[in-house]
Amino acid sequence: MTAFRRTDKPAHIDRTKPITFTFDGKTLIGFSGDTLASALLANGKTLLGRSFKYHRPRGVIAAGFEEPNALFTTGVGGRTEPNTIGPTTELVSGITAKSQNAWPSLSFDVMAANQLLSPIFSAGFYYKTFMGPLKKSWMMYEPIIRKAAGLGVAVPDVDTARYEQRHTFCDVLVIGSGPAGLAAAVTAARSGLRVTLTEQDFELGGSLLSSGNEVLEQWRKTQIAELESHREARVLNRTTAQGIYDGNLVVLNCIPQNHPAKMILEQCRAKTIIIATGAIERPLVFENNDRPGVMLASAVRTYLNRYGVAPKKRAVIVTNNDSAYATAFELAEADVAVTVAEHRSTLSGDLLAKAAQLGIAIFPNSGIANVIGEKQISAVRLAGRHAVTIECDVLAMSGGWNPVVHLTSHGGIKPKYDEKIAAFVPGGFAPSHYGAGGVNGTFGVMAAIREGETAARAALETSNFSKKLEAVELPAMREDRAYTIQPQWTVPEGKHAFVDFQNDVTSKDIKQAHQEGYLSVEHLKRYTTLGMGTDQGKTSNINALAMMADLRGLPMSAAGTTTFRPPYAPLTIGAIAGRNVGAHFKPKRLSPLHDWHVAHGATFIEAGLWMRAWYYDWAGHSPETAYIKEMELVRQNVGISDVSSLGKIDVQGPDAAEFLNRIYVNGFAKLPIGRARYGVMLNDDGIVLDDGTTSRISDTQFYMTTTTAQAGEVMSWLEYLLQMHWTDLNVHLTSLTDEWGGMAVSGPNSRRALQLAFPELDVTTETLPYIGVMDFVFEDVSVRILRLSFSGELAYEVHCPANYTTALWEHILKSADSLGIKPYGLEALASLRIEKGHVAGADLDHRNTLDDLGLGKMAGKEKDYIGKALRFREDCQAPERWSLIGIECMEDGKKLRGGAILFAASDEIKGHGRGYITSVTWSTELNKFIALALYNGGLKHEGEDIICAFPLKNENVKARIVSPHFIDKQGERLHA
Amino acid sequence: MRIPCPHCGERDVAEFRYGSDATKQRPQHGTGDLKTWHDYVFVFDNPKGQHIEYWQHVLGCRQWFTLKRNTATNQILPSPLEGEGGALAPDEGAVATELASTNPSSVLRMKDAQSTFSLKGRRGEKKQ
Repeated sequence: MTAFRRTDKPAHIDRTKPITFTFDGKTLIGFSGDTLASALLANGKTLLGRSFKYHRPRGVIAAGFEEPNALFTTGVGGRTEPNTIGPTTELVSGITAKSQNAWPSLSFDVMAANQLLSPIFSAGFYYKTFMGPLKKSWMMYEPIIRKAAGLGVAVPDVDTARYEQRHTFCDVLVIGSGPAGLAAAVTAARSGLRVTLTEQDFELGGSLLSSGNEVLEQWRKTQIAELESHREARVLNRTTAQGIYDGNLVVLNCIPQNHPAKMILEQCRAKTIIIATGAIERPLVFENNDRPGVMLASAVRTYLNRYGVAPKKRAVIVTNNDSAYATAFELAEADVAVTVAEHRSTLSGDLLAKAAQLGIAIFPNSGIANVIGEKQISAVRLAGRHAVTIECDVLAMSGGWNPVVHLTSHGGIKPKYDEKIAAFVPGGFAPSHYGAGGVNGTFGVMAAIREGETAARAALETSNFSKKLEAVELPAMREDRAYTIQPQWTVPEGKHAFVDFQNDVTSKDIKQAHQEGYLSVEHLKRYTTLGMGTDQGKTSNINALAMMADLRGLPMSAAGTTTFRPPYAPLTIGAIAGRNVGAHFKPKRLSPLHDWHVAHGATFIEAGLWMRAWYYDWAGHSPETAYIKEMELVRQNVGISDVSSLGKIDVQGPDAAEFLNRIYVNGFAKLPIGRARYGVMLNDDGIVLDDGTTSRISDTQFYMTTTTAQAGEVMSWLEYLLQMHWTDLNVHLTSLTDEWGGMAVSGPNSRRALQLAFPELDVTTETLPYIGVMDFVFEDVSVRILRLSFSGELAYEVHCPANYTTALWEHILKSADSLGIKPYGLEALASLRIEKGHVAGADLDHRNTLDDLGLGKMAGKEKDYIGKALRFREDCQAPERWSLIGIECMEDGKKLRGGAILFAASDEIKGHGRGYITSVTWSTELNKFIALALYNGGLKHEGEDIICAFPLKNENVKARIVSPHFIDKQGERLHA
Repeated sequence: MRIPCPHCGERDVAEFRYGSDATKQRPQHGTGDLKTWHDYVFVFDNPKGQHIEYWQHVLGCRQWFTLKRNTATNQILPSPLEGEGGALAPDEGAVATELASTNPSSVLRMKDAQSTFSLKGRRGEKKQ
């Protein structure tokens, strides 16, 4: 037996275009113009899913985004989309829809046994059960509960769909294409200004599509045709306005047609915004009001008029307001036997007369006592004096209308309660925002059209458009009848009177929350989960707030609403990510030598945004071992490594020396021309910001290098000081990070290598001593050689403009080939500096003081530098700070690991320990694992035995605290 | 949020970086005891409403500037380099006066910038 049928009346479906789709594996046929929900109803499918907690049978309730229950999983593999909203999903060929939260089948669901447990699943269930004495059992129960309760399930597959983003602007943005929105858009478009009209549905018209009125249909078509004729008018259907942000930024998500992207997220900057988002009908709360076949009255009307889907024979309507009578009359005209249960005691004469004419029975002072039928409604029992049982296929309910105020409230304007329509309306509009129609609580078509036009004129005025415009033609109809309602807020008795259909929150739960003291609307929401989920309480919130207000004896205006936040409707994360996924997640920075590395067998590693050569094929194919060979090359012979990612800043001006003297803790004022100096910068708070080498090129020019990681931060900080504070200093900064490339030539044979590459040049220790700098021109290219060493060996850095870096690199490799020079990567570079005890990014955790790093003696005693005052605050001088130490592994065959937690030998291995390993490497010199670490008290504990604990791998390795300078403590190699 | 860069015009906030509270007076270099620096570095008001902040057009001209922003609404008032004529005579707006009282160095810089950037060409242009 099916409860619905197709009519043969005109509707917005094309009966000549059948569309095939599947539901739970069964092939069904709908029509072009259908939604997934309307096609399912037309196929007699009313049981469509199981509920969140109790696994109760559920069907379609609504005809829009407010739908709480008719949610499906569509698509397969990576294209799987859980919680697809049936009533808003356009029926297209090949949709595969599956019901959710039911096993083994929708009709026979094992978890339906949860219904028997409903007393324990009531409000606050999670908190009470698992945060109390049973807290520990949460770990055990959680997977079972998560399996039992829920909606659709996300799949682990990668979403293969393409999502795009775009940025647009317009003068007038109209959101919603109902009567108000269409009138507003047409009026605004007549000005010739840029107008964008957005509509979440695939058809324009909003409530007009549900009316079944020929005159209104004509009017709708006329307006759409006119909009199409305006060159600057842009119409976006299948586009949901998700949020309004600062500066009139409106985020729209569009489902494009004939486009490779599944969805486009559009950020639209609108000079003015007209919000014409309409209203959503409220359900009524009574026992078993969630049974399939119980629907919103307006939804029944939409399915009838828009999709040609009518209840088979009999419908009961329960209402407290006039709007449901349109549904009643049109159902009767479509040969459905209609009975009305009317909460009110009186009704206006015209409605009574028309009802009598159509043979509709009206029971005044009546509500619904109970609904009969489990998987499909079969009858209802009325409450009140007329306690009759009426057989029916559908129960259409209307508890009044809630304006869709969401967008008006995103900027922080709270909605206000309007007694006359018993609903919340916008509490105001931000400047350049206007509302029209249902969103204002204006429920008549004619009034909505007039408001739309008025709003458009106001918006145009804001956009400085003052010419006279022709008024939009009104449809040839009688005026709207007045809307009257008698709110139905009292909390009904019963165990299964659902307030929130999606989260299975009943009137009983609200009573319980009240009894337990969860009184504010925000607490109510979090305690009962009411208003959460994919529908965000679009049908449930106001009923729940009203019930709570009733229980507390407060007026609605005092109860308030929960906060409206974007997005308005469910939005897939993919749309927000757009094309910023995978390799496009963040930009990649490439060294000028990158192509060379690729061509010569480098394996790469990400270092911040940089792609850096990690190790080379010549040394092996494993990161565990290749670097060791590369290290040996540098320690014993000569290697060359790409250091182009270093921050490089050209500092020029008469006050350049004074400037550097202020920002570095050590002195730079007297640095001789042609010499470099290692410097450390502090922040104002006395914590180490960065280190690097700066060399003096001339009286007024310096060449600063920074660490790769801090290059951007340092540049910005120096600019800040010069531009906002030290405006008396005459200094100019130019970033050369991308303009210049650099390479380190390191190892005992490095001088030999340079002599082979540049035979004309004198690079002997006499002319180019340690920390000497030399500029020269080689084959018309400026080259700068700095005798610096990160590895501790005799070493040079060779810098030159980025365009020539590869040529110079190849030249050195070729010239020094006879020595056996080879490239070495980042892993070896880092390991060499660990042996030497040079700190780098990993050891600097932005909490270190100079003294923590053993660099306190560097700071000038007499001079002033940034961070000097706060460097000496008490906390920074505490004796047991985490300070730099070296560690040697004391156990053969065991590894030290980065991040290992350090304990003294006598400590219990528990908690956060006394420090942790920041950098670790195999030492080719010492033949053991060594590490740099931060440790309570630092080198005061030199020589002590410690335990390096790595609980993830259950390792406790014995080690000893040593000086961080593992090799060449005297610096003989450096100065060779 | 969009921010009017005094040099480049209005741009998306993504092009900028926030610096710090511009109502605070940085101690002159080489002066100030521990307490002074402590208060400057660590003690902040968190005003709801009008505020003056340092921002940098970091993905643009890289200039730092002061921005008058309402922290509750993100409404931004024109910064002193912008507006009609771009002049910064003290009598021309409360912003300049207020800035002068809170951070003389930034005003000094803007006066310098006035001559450097030759804002005369913009005089008489109406802000849209």
